[in-house]
Amino acid sequence: MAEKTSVVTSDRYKQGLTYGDYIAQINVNQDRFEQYYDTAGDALTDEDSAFFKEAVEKGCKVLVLGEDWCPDVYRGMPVIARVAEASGMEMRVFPRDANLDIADEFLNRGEFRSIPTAVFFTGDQEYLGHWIERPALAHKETAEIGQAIEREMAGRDEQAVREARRGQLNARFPAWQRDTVRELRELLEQKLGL
Amino acid sequence: MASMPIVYTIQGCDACVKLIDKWNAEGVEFEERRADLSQEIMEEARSYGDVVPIIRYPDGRTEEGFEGGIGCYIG
Repeated sequence: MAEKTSVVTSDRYKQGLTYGDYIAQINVNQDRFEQYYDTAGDALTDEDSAFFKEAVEKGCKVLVLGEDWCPDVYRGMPVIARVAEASGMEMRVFPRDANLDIADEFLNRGEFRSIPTAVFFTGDQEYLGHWIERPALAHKETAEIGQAIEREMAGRDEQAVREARRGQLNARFPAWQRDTVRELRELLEQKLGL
Repeated sequence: MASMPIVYTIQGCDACVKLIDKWNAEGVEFEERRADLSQEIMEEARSYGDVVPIIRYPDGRTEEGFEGGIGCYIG
């Protein structure tokens, strides 16, 4: 696992982009990053902010791997940005495909370079833990929505099915953003003993 | 209608690479459109499917993904 042998040294970490700089250089989906940054504003309670501030007092910082074309990234990364802003947590973004050595350290199920991946470190660059892709609730509800649409729209035009599925998934994202915050809290609660 | 297949891809997509390698090996003529490089092409790709590679054949058929590769969700 990561820990002392991570390719993410302190110097490497500092080479990552701030969230603002990352957004400024993306090719696609700028409007979607903005849209989900707005909705992510409601994802954190005051208590969540206080919790993450406490984590920062213990030296916690975060690295995020992402790519701009990916819906999980333009929906999930803004949540992590909100967490960082609300708590003063340092956040550095690394485009995945230009940093495959980092991605390969934090594979999903040991196999997939899923994004976004948020990796938490201490100020001394000690690995704390990481979170991958989307909350469990999103995986569960995505499957349920997909199955229900297939059942209810069997035989309908593919584009109509796609639009219906997208509409239902998009409607759930504010709830999934809140669940992302909850999962990030749980991870840090365990790792930092908060 | 285009006279050769159009394939929408993104960088870092395993299935896209496998499809293009296969077509290159077979001498298939095609036009690649990178959805990660332009919003216009991204929206065009999304109008045809959710998972790249998305192939538009000259006869109007559309296919998503590619055998044995991990497609990437863009929907």
